[in-house]
Amino acid sequence: MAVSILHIAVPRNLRTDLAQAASAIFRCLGISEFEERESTNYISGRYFSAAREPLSFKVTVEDDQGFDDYHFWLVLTLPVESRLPMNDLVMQTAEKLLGCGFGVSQEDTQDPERSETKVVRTVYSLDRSGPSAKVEKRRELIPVDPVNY
Amino acid sequence: MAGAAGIAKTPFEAKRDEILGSLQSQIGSFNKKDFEEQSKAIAAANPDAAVAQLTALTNKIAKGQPTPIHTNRMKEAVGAQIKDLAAIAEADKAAAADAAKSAAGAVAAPAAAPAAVKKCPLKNPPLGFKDKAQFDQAMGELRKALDDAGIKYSQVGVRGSSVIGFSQTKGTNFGKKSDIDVFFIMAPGEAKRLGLKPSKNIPGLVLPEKIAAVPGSEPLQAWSDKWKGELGGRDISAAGFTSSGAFGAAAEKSNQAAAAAGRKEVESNFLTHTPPPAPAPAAAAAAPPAAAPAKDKTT
Repeated sequence: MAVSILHIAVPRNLRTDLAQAASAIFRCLGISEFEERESTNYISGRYFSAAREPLSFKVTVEDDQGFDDYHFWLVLTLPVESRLPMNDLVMQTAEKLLGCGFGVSQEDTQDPERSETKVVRTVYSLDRSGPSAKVEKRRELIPVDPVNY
Repeated sequence: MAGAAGIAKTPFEAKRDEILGSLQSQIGSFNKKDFEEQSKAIAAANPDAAVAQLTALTNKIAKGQPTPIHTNRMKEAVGAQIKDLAAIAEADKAAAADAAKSAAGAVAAPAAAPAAVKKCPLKNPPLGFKDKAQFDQAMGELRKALDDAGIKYSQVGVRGSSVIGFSQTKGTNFGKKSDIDVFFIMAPGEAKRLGLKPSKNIPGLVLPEKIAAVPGSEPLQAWSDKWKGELGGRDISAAGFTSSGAFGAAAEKSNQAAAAAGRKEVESNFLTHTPPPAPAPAAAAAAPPAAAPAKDKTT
């Protein structure tokens, strides 16, 4: 099983309502059926889940340091039996979300500059200068409070 | 209760002013007037309701802070003090009642203890498991999955609505939509060793989604998949906590959130699992009835 978390920035009118934001995110991904679930693991006590082969998705409230300008998480899970590359699926998902006007980024947990006081994030954007839009990635270093272990 | 010059402050007022000073030194734009007005309710009214009001105020003020870092610091600072204020206010009320009775010639009763937290019996086995044996099996297999994944831990158990019967965040009863939230407490230094950063808002929590990114953690995902099937398709996953201290803080935060929303507050929202004792080898050879499982800790 492979898991990726995308950090999603949404327009102001969606920021305070997880249900509306989840609905908008899923609609953008072409998913019409989703389910609300309850779990104490998430700060809102709930999340919204959906599936579209080969991925399953979870939308919940943002809860990571270094992503204060993002509002929700989109968790992508790829089953262990799938042989598709997760990175490609992440790029395809990011492209759709950017096309719908959402902001998208991801934490780079492998970057050597990541530390207890620095988050390294990959920010996705759409380059529309060519004949077809292309996803671009930008690396950002965000200072954060030291982790309290 | 007036804190005018020349009049001694009550314990409540002294504590309130101490908190105010502390908050203002941390956050320059803290709204002192709102805090003072609302906190008067603590001394005057039902402490449970007043604590909820004060928590709501904290959240309201926090929304107006310039940065999320300020917001989180202030939430932590105020949250940690709310219970103290309630207890002191309760003691103030009791002392005032005693004084009134004494003044009327009545025999003074001993001061009332601070209002007790409403107790909520923990479900053991947690809801969603068919019986204790199944719960023991799931927890035993979780311990093995953690060992196989090379993650060092001290305790495992279940938290949330499946052990207290309702969601502290939403107030709804445990039902079809409810996940079973399993936890394990990581050995000191383990989260750091694995490069895992805890939640920004829930003290010490490392989500299953984060743990899934750790190389070698596949046995934990296999455990979740297997037990989702065993439990009729209900989602079940294991989150980590960086230490038992952080875990206790998370439980306390859940209680504060529930109280702020006017919902039930519980003494504990987690059930720590103790493995049933293994039968002695000689006794096992004689095939006795299964040993009674140990009583779980309800820390």
